Amino acid sequence: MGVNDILFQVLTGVGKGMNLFLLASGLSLIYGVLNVVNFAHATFYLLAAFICYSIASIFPGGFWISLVVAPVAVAALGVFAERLFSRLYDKEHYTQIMLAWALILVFGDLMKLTWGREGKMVATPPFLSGGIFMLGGSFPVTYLFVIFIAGAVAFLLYLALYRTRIGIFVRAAAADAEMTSALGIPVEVLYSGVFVVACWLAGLGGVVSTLLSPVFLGADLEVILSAFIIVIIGGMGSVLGALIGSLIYGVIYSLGVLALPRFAIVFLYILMVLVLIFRPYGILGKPR
Amino acid sequence: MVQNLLLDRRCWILVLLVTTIIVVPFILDVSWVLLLTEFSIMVLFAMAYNLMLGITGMFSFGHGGLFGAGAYILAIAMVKGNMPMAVALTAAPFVTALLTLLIGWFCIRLTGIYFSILTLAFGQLIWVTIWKMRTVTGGDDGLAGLTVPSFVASPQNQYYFILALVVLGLALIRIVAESPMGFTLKTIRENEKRAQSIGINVKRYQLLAFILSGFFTGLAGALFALFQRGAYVEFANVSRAFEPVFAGVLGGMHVFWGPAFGAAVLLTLDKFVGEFTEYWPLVAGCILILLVLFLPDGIMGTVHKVIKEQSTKRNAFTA
Repeated sequence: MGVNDILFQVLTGVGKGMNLFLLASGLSLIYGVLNVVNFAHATFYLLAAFICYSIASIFPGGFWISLVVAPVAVAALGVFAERLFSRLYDKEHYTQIMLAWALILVFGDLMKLTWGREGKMVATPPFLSGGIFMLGGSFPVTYLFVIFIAGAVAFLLYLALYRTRIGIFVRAAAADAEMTSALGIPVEVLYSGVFVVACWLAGLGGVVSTLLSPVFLGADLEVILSAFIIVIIGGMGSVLGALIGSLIYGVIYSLGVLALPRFAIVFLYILMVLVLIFRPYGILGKPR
Repeated sequence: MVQNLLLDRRCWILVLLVTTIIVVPFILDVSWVLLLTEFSIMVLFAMAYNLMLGITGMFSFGHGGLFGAGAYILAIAMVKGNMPMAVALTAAPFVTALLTLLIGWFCIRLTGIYFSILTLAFGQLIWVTIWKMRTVTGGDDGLAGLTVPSFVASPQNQYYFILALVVLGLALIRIVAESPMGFTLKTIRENEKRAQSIGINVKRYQLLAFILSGFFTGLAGALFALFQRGAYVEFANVSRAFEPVFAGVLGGMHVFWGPAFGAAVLLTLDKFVGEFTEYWPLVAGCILILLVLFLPDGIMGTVHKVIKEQSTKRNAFTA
């Protein structure tokens, strides 16, 4: 195994990590601003992936349509979910997590009703098939595309949070909701907005995930646990932390697969436990 | 007078319950006996879990892992170690309690949601270890072919045997909850800072509650492995961790028997709804949404509240 193989594997890991970033950033954002742990976040991700499958199987070039439509559709659903969660903002965390669990059960079954229990493959659009010759091998374009999309989203998210007026409001609400509200800023609306944007991000993550892996029931639980590992490493509430966490996750996973294929995921759980023990608020989070 | 009547009524309920339990295997058919055996194990699991959330106010997310640990310790001891059932069944809760001590020692340092997420991480670590350590645990094939001694082999005998252990476990949990220690735990639940300021070593009591909860969870897991004649990866997965919380939310976690009631209702619904549709989770999810939003005290908790209000009203009239 040469250096190139390892570099290849790392790049694959970055692709996988950046895909998860689209999910983890929303999870982190919702926690940071709303103080809610949305365990059901990946359900929106999976739902968007299934919607993408349906659209792609009807229209030629459906992937591109679904890249626009599916995230908007699950964001609309996010409005409804946020209304449910809003009743529990000041309640204990376990009630929020149980509500999320209920949503996972309900939407899991609705997806089973709609799409059946078999896994689905979305055909890679011609524009993204094949590979680019680099590092003495052919690297799949799909991974590069995912890295590009997620990178662009990360940049836009940064601009939105740090270079716009609404971003200032969001950060203010995250720091002190009561005070922000006293200044006449409609915090309730901000909360809904953040939740919906996070759902949109999850939807986008779900759509691009169809390029890398098949869509199957139960993937939401698997993916949300990865997202948890990521936000814990990066720091809950920090979007930049989620980005760093995603990269760490992707690289460790891909190198772990290379070294000890069966135990890659074990390493990540151990890392999560260690971070929680020694630095519970992660790399970039703030202690509360 | 009233007190006596109340005592009498409780006494009758108990007598009725005990006779029903004893008579059941003679009347009902085997599938029912098996169902009731499974019920009793899940009741123990829910009650063991409630030592954490309902009584001490700690939200653990990792009890799926502990349940699985109990099951696998028994299965490994009996299938791989060829140990007698008595030894394996004694070892399982104690070893699980030791494991809980190790986990809890780290977890109690954290508060709030970080505590819950660390329990989740440990729970997942147990699950993933079980899944990947093929040589010891059989990986995703699980450990099947557990042979039980002949005196518990028949469904009826197994029912009595498991039920006896469950009742013993429940009695011990009851004793803990009603002991001075139980009241200390409830004090911590109500107000951690105040408990600290009256000289209670909060962290130590939390750890103790965690260990006790782990002990009974391990027992429940071991009984479940016995019941299923083997241990499988699904015993430890994250869905398992939600079951006792669901039972607590449904029955009412601040009433002692609430989670037991909740677990019984949940399993009954599971069986009956499962008869005519495979979409039980859809129904369960809807029930859970309604409960969390509109009935936060659960069924028994709400009933208790109503009774209390009625009696204060009545007292107000007489006074």
